[in-house]
Amino acid sequence: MSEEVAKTNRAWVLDFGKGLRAAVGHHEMWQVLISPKLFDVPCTPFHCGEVLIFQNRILPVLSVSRLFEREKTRQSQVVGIAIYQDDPAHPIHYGGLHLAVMPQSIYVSDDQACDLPESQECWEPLAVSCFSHEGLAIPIIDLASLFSGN
Amino acid sequence: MSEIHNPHLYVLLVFDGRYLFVPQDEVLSIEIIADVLMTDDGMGTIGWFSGHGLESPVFCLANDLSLLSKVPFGREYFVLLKDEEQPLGVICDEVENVNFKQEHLHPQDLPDVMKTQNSPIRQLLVYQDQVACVCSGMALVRYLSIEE
Repeated sequence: MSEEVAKTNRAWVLDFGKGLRAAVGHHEMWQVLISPKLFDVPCTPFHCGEVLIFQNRILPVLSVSRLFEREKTRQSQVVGIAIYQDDPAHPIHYGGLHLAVMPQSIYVSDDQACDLPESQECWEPLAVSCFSHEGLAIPIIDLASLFSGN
Repeated sequence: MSEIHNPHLYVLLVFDGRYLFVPQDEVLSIEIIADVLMTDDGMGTIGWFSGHGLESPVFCLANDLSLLSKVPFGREYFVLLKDEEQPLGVICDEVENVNFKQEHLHPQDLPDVMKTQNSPIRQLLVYQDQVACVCSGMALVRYLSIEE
């Protein structure tokens, strides 16, 4: 029993719309905001041109669907506040993610690991691993890479 | 007599709902638009200002920092930014001097993910319930020179 628990981790499945789904660790999603006030910032990338004010910080709000689809789609009013670190020795950072729906909390075990399908190769630069969930391959993404701007 | 540099002093440029701060010591002067000789040369400028012994191009910006070819109603001032070659004007709806230290304003660096090659914006800050941008005068001049 204890061995099974050790191999199981909690995660959030994030639905970015347009069929784009990915997972992050349970500790990497801080809060979800519904209809936060967003401010646009000029001269910014197509997928990250908005910020919000959260606990006296100005956070970038990133659209994964715009990053991959390059289309100006209407964004939902759900924004997840993610936490990430560039390096374990560096302070944590916060960033907003446009989500199509509320994140789904799940348990993931090692035996769900799978390869990233070719149909989802867009995730390759960001995916650290992948698992099978409800018949779908869900990449686990590195938020620090996503927010690095590289 | 040398000028005293105060890093907390900024000039706020407001145009089309956009709030943009530039360090005060990078601003040459604030002028009125009536002194601009309007032109329609299709070069990005809306006119030229003769002052301080130089001819200075004057630009009009939209909310997204794109160049406008016509001046929207209500813009009465322009800020003349210092530059090595020639000063450069930016037309505004409002202009205000702001001391960041006195107003307890704390700019934050523009997040890496929001940076682009030609962006003049280096920091963001919350001011009057808006998210304002902070630029160096030099970066804004360079940006306008590229856009032009």
